[in-house]
Order: sequence, then structure tokens, then C-alpha cells
Amino acid sequence: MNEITRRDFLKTSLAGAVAATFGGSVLAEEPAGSEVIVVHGADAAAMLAAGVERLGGWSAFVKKGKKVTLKVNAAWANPPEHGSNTSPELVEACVKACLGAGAGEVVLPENPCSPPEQAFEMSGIARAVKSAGGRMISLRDDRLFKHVELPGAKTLKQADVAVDVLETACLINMPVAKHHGSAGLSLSMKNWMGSIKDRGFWHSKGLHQCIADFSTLVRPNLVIIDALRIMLDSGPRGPGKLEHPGLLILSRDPVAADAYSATLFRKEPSDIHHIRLAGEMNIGCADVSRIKVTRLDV
Amino acid sequence: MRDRQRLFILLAVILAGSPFLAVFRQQLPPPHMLPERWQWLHRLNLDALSVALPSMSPFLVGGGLLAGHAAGLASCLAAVTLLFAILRGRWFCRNVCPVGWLNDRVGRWNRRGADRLRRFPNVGPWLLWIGLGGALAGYPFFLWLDPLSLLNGFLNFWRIPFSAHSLVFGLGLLGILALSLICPGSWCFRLCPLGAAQEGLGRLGRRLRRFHERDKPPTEAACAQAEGFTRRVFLALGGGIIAGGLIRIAGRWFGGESGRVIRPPGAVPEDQFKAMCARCGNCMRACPQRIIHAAGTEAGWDGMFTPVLRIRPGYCAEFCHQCNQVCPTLAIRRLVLDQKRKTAIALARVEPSACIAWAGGQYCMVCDEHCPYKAIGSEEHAGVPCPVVREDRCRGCGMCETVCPGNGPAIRVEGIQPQRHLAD
Repeated sequence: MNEITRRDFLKTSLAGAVAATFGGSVLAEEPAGSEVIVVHGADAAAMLAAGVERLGGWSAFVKKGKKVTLKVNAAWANPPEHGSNTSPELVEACVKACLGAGAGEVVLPENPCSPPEQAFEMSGIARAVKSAGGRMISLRDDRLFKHVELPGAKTLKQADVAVDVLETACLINMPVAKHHGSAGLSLSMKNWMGSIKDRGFWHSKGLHQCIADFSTLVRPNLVIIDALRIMLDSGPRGPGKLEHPGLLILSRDPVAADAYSATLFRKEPSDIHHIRLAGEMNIGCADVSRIKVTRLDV
Repeated sequence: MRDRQRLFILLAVILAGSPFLAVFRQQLPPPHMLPERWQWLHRLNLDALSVALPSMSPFLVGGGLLAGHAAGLASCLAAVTLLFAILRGRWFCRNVCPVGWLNDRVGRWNRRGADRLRRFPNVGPWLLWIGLGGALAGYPFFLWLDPLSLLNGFLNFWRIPFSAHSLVFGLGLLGILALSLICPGSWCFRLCPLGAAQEGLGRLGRRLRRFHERDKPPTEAACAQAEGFTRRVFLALGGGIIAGGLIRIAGRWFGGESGRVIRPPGAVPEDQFKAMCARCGNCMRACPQRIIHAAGTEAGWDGMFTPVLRIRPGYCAEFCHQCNQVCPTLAIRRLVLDQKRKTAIALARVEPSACIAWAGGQYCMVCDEHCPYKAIGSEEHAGVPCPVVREDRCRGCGMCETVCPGNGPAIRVEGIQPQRHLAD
């Protein structure tokens, strides 16, 4: 176990060093935020390393000794095979990689739908986070939220948001891609609903607009969408029909990542209202034809 | 005497400690936050004792067995007590029963009470035989008067959801002790149905043994006494059967208003449940969601202090069947998780006028999103999906009610009687 950790550490730090030396100049030529890396493979850790390396390596995201906030989807008391939560092996790999890149701590705040203890245990994420050295935070305590105004929003003018999401050196959004009964699809922007206190407001005042509104305020440094297995119907809880694309979708632009991921479900991104709205509000690029897609095979 | 004291002290320490242990466990961080070497703290569980304690009573277990035709593994403890009673009469009473010991202690503070006891009518045998008569008709009376159940209720009191009605669980044992202070021995020798049961069994045992000693014919006085005893038993049993039967019939005919309460999953039908429940509080304590409350009058006067589920903020969680493992009389059956997940205790109903989707035209479907049983179907209305309950799948767990962002909430569960078994 130790050996692998060390090797991973060396690999990631080496990748970081390489990227820091050569990657910067490559990145500078491209318009930031409209690039999507699509990694295909079977080993989540290797896929993650390859994808992040292409985006500049972990050192481009993780600041030495500072906090990393990782927002996974651990909403449901379901086993990983159902595809309703982020895959635990991916979570474990990501926490390890962040710590390996010098993060002071990795926290994973989540306000699950199922009772927290069962959601975290049954999803396998609690165990993964513990073994990787991160810290899971159950957002069932009012003191963990901060009330903020959203000046750029149309409907969601204010919200109570997890402090760890607002105040962090590096914010990573790592949802699972799945069908969703009311939001159409649950991708990265929808995933923020697990970091707020009052979800009911969103549903009652216009779900899609609120999802888009929230992304005007909370802008992740990195989006990693888990499409190793995707749930095609009966979402968000499942169990539903599964497909196994074996993909990770990485981007700095949440809207672009969501728009690309929508195509995995054979849907037009513009059919998913919140993706279309986010594009119209210029939060990111919702037009797949304008997104630069880089495919990697690991 | 010293043995009994030692035994009691051991039992008292364990039982008095178990609530504190439970409180302590609730304060522990969840398992995934604890290092490996402290994990055993979570496995530390003396809650099994709260099943074992009332299960030692042949009155309680026997009543449940006769009425419900079912017994759990813990019921074997009652068989041991029964055997001791046949061989040694009130042996359990004098040497094991913690309530007996407490009564004895308290009674000693009152030195003038001895002649009061002489005038105290012997009610215990009547309670016992009427209770068992009712049990034969499926409606055991007075199970809630079992001393071990009362003690258990007292120990559970600290851990069940607090309300005006839950206070009764704390007061039952104190009431007995107060009685023992006023008139020492009155509970144990005049009222306690468990004591009466042991005395009756002891008498039976003696007679069986005498049957083998033919050379000693019974005296005339003993014959007369035996005859009186038999007549009393006959009267009480018959009365119990008739009363229990009538109450069940009446309950089926007029029990409409109590059909709405939600009982724990696996509860026997309502016309039996109110009697088979010993009011020991085990299920209320066991529920991790803390939704099992002591009923007021919503289940009828005869259903007071029985367990009812009140949805919000908790719900009947899909991964849990704690309440199915603790009932000493099996008024709540031992269901395995899979059976429990297929037992419908209630039914959800959507109130369209309060619903964000039906009335507000918004994308909501939060009920569908959360439903663990896929019991919410959707119907297109004004361009948005709107929830419809699929009655063949709804278990009535109430998760939809707890998460509904609608006005008030717009989807609610209502109890169904008897509980339904859902198809796969």
C-alpha cells in the first residue's frame, strides 16, 4: 500500500513538475475554460493523473500547504454499483493525488439526501476518503454554512453555502454523471446542491435557473465528471439502467464539462435547461461545437 | 440472600449503565471518522439486555405466544423461568427479579405496613388468568403490568423521544415502588401477575410431585383450597376469553379512527396490537431516526402509550429494521430487512393544491428523487413532470414527506391497517 502511495506521489509530482516547465506556454495559447479533456480507460487513478497532467498538472491547482475542497456526490445510501454516487476509487485517487501534490488538507463537504452516516458508508466514499487521508464533512449543522449574496443571479439572490466551498485555496467539483428526474441530467453544476442548506427554495423558485445562478458565484478550479458508469434513467437515486463508458471528463469550465457530458446521454446540451441558461449567462461555453475536446486513452 | 444481592448489583450496574452507554455511543463520531483501534466502541452494545430482561417473564412471553402464535429466540429465557417456577415456586421472584428486590428494599422503610398487607385483596391471580384468557382470544390483558416490562420501560424512558406521554414510562416503576412504601409486599404478593404466575406454577408443580406420593392423601382443607382455586381460574379464564373476543370484534367494527396511525413495520393487526404491546418502550428506543413515539389518544384510549410513527424530521429508513428485533411479546414481528422493505405501513398521498409541480408548474419531483422504492410516477402537466403515487409500490416510509419543499408538505403518508405486503 505504502509503495503505491509513494509511486503515485512521485508520478504526480513529476507530472506536475513537467507541466510546470512545459505546460504553461501551451496553455497560454488557448482560450481558458473552453477545453475539455476526455480520458478513456479502466484505472481511475491513472486516468485522473493523465487528465490532470494535460490540464497543467496538480501543481496548477493545488497550493502547497493549503486546503483543497473536493465536492463529490455522496448523496445516496446506495452501493457504488448503482452509479448514484461518485465512484469511491476515483475519490480515493483524487484525495491521494491532492495530498501528494502538497495540499495541507483535503476536505469533502456533503449535504446528502439519505441520512449522512448511511450515505457515506454505503457509497464506499467514507472508507475511500479515510484511507486516502481526507476528511468527510457532513453538512447537517447550520454552523457549517455561510449566508452569501449572489449579485449575478436572476432568481437565487442569496443562499446558505458550505463555508468550505466558499473559503478554500482549491475547489474541485467531482460529480457523477447521471439522469435526473427534474434537472434532466445531474452533472457538475447540479452537484452544488449538495453544498447548500435549503434545496427546497431551488425547487420551488425554478430549479434550472437556480442551478445556473449558483454557478455565477461558485467557480471551481477544476471539474472532474465521473462517467466511468452512467445512470441513464431513474435518476438521481436509481437503481436505473446503466452504461459503462469508462470516461472521465475534466475541464476548468463547468458549463463546457456539463455540455460535453450531456452528449454521452445522447442529448443536446441545449435540451438541459440549466446548461442552456448557464451558457446564455456566459458562465461558460455551452456550445459543444466551440469546445476544444482532447481525447486520451489510458 | 447475599447471592441475590450480588446478582442484583450486577444486573443493576449493567442495566443502569446501558442507557449511559447508549448516550455515550450517540456522542461518538460516526464509524468512518474513528480510527481502527477505537472501532470496538461502536460495536459495544448492551441493548440486547433490554430484550432479554422482559423476555425472562413467562407472563409476558406466554401472553404474546398465546395471542400471536409466535415467539423469538429470547423467549427461551421465559422457559427457564417457567421451569424454575414449577420446581421451586417463587424462586425467580425471590432471587432474580430486580423489581422484587427494589420493592423489598423500599418496603423495609415502612415498619407499620405488615397488617395493611393482610387486608389487601389478592388481585394478582385474577390479573394473570384474565390476561391469559384474553390471550387465548388473541387479546392478552394486563401485559403492561408485567414488572420486568415496567422496569424496562423505566430504563428506556431516558432514551425514547420525550413527550407528555413518554413520562408514563418513567412513572410506572416509581408507582410500584410508592405502593410498596405505603403497603410493603402489596405489589409482589397481591398484584404482580408474574408473581401470581410463579405461585400458580409452583402449586402445579407441588401437586404433580404429590401425585407420585400416593401414601400421603391430601387433607380436606387442601382439597377445598384446590377447589376454590380451580373455580377462580375457570372464572377468570372464561371472563378473559369472552372480554378479549368481544373487544376484538368491537375493534374491527368500530376501530375506524385508529386505522390512521402508523405502526412500526411488522406490527400485528390493530385489533391485537393494543393488547399485545407491553408498553416496554423497546421499539421507541431502538429507532435510530427517533420517529417512534408513545401514542396519546390518537390510537384510542386502549391504545395509549403504544408506539406510533410520526414522520418528520425522520422517516422509516430503508436500510433499518431495528424495531423488528426488540419486541419481547412479538407484537412487532421479527422481520428481516428484506421483509421489512416489502411491508407497507402507510400510503403517501399528494395534495395537488400544495404541490410545487401540480400547482406551481415548477420542475420539482423531489419526492420521486428521494423515494427509496420508486413509488412516485410522473405525469406531464402544463409542461412539467408532476408526482403521482404508485400505490402498488409505496411503503409509506415517509421520506417524500420529509423532503417535500411544497406548501406544508404537499405529500403526506397516512397509516394503513392492516399492513400490506408489497409484491416484488
